[in-house]
Amino acid sequence: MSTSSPQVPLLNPVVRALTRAHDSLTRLSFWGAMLGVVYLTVVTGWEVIGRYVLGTPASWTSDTAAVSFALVTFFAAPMLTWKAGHASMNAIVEALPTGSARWIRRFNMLLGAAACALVAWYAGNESLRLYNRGVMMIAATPIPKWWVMAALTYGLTSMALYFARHFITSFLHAEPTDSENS
Amino acid sequence: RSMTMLSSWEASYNAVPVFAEGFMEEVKERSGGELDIRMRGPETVPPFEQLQPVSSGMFDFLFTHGAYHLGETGMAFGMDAVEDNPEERRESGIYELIDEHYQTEHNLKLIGVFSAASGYHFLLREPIGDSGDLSGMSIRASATYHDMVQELNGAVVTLPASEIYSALDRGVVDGAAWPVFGAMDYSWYEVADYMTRPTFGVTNLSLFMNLDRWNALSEKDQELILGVAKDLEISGREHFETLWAEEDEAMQEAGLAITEFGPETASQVDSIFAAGVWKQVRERSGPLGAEFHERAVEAGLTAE
Amino acid sequence: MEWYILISAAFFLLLALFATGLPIFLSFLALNILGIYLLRGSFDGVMLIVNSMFNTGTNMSLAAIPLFILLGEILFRSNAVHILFNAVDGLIGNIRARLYAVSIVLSAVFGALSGSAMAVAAMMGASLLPEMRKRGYDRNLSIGTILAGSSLAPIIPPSVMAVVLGILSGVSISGLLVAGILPGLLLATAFFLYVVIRGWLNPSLAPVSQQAKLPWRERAMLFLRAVPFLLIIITILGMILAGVATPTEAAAMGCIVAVIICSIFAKLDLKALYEAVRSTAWITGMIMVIMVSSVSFSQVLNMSGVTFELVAWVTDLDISLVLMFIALMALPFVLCMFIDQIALMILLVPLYKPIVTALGFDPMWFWAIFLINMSVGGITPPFGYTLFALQGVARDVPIQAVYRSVLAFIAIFAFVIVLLALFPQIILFLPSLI
Ligand code: NA
Ligand code: NA
Repeated sequence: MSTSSPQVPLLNPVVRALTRAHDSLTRLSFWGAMLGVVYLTVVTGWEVIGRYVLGTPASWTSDTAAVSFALVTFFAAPMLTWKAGHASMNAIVEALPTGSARWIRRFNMLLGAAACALVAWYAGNESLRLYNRGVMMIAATPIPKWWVMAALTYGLTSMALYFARHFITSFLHAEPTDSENS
Repeated sequence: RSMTMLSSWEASYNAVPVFAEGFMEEVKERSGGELDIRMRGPETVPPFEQLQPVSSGMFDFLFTHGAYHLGETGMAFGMDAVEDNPEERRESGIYELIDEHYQTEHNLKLIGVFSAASGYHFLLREPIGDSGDLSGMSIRASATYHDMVQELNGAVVTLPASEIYSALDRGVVDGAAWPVFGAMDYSWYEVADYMTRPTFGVTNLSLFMNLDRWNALSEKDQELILGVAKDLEISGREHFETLWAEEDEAMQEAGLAITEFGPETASQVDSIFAAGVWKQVRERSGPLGAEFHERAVEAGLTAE
Repeated sequence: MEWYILISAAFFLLLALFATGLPIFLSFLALNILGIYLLRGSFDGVMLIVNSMFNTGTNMSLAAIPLFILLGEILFRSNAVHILFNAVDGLIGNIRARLYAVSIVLSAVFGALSGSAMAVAAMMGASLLPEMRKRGYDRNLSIGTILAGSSLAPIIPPSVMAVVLGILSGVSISGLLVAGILPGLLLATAFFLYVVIRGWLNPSLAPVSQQAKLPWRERAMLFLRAVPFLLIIITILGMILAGVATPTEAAAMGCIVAVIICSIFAKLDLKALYEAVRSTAWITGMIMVIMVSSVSFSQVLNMSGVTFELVAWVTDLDISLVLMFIALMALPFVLCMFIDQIALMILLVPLYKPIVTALGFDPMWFWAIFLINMSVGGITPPFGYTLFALQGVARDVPIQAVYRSVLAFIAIFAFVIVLLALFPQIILFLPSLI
């Protein structure tokens, strides 16, 4: 999944270090998403086995499974934005002349950055509120609600950053070459 | 402009026409059509997430159950452990405590707490055995009943409400805890044969208003709204006494037989339930929660 | 503003955003933010979207999605696929148009193991299609059978689309999943008959195969090797049909059984498992980002009062229920030519849901047919992920040829949908057992 982004002289070392840190964090959180998939599978299966085979139904299983499921989504999402892997309908844009298509893409990246940042802002404030008040998820197992809300905030913030980065780099070199086969 | 009320249930749930719609109609009538409220249901905001949007003023009123925002606070839920007597509840001063809590912590004004003149019970596949409690039974229960089920020696199973029917049918669980209204609406009488008595606790519905909207009202309108709620606490409760009697009869006709807790347990179910509720109130609502509990005990309004 | 202006404006704005190639999740997110801003006069309502993201993200019913995806990934990344292929290949005798039949039976089996049409189309396009063309089978009919067969995957459980539709429409997900079994088999039978008749009418479409005459012992062996994998299907369907587990739990058990069976009877190693989990996280992220960003669309619609007005308008229309049903199904069928299926469901289901209730249609019957209608959407030209997935692995085939190849099968789908509408028991029988 390593991508060789072209060397851009305009980027100073600090910016480059920051973007590299951002990318590393994204790889790390994608690992978190993969762990989430495994945990979700194992613990949900365990719940069924516990219920019928062992006769000891537990409630922590489905409560924590719900959290891990949310983490899969919000930890995997930045990687999709980084690698331009989101589902979209490109047929029309691809049929347009390169110049106008590029400007439409730029508009989309800007819109993506703005929308994700706006939602991330509210989610971040809500995370703080949930943390300060100690609000719990309504479940048998006491799980702080801010855990998931913070993951949501992270996911959207990182996505906003990637949209902004794609927007800026679209001026630095002709075409982003990053792509990932799903 | 007209105001909006966020309701945790669709109009098909019997408390909505009696209390929520009853409130809206009465307010409209007494104000000569000036105060107009429109309802938005759970399809607009899911039931467990409704407190925040009303706090922030996206909607003006909230009609809900205290357990639905238990993650935020247990204050309104505490009313489920308070004696079912509207006048005494008002006189004891606990309303002021609850109101203060929601005003300072959630930017909400408490308008009224409506009793459904009935409580909770367990639907069971088998009658209560020699133990006199839920020993050896796995019971589907939401957070409201967790302590209760465990105190009665049962095992808690968490399943979505939509799974109750098939879980009872297949014996995935031996029983389910629920307000006494529900067995008929969801056809659970087809898959459970017993209901436990005595019932325990009181089902209450709470009505809140966004504090900014409340403060923007004229004093006259404020009095009008509180007056309507106060009257409805009594008239709606009477209405529910009739509904409850009808429901009880319908359930027995549908084949749900009564199974009594053992004599020792029976005298305690109410206080066991109350203890679980107060534990939640104290844990989740800080010093005011503790004060609420003490005040209720002092007034003799809760099982000791 | 009048409600129909609002809803049309929202609709066209969304289509315009889709057309710019804006990611689907962003199109919904942007529209929801705009809608809430217009309704509230400030961005404070964004909290509603945040809460909706939280709720949708932690919804355990939707957790069936990654588990269904993981199941397919495990099977397709071990060589379970080849074992099943050999079994079906060995079992189907020396009939005319043999490989067409093989491809349809195989796609029904894969459909019962995979939740997504794209995965099945890509796999069959990579494995079976070259074989068919090498042996002189008609290119277009081969592509058509593979595409039509792949469309059974969202209909026969497990199905990602059924989970999404169940969440949006509020009908039982278990019910919706098992409701697809009989229609899926009916469709497979119809495709089977069609290719046999085509081959019989025009022998040049299918060469007589020389080697498909295996001794019975060998056939039995091939079948026996496939039996463990059928256990996976039995685990999932059995648990859902018996009502002992939610679809999410059944899917998790299916994955666990699949890991065990594939490590013993197929070639599942740690690397394949790692790739399967990685791909699951990727696809789950893709689908769930759309879900969490868009579910608040129905809340925005409700807050604006549009839903209420639309239902009042529809129920006041003086047309027969039959015409109404046809109109309600024709709209998504046409829109599916241009719009992503999940996006279309998110757009239409919140509007349809109260209408279906108001008109008194049986919800299970209506939404099961809707699901089949949506499944066809994956292969209706010009836009369809299943079409693209197949073209992705068969690059030398021009997209126009792919388009032409599916037309007859789309007609068969339409015919079967009419049958299902006329005989609701085909859909309702299995759900009634749960
Ligand atoms: Na399937
Ligand atoms: Na299509």
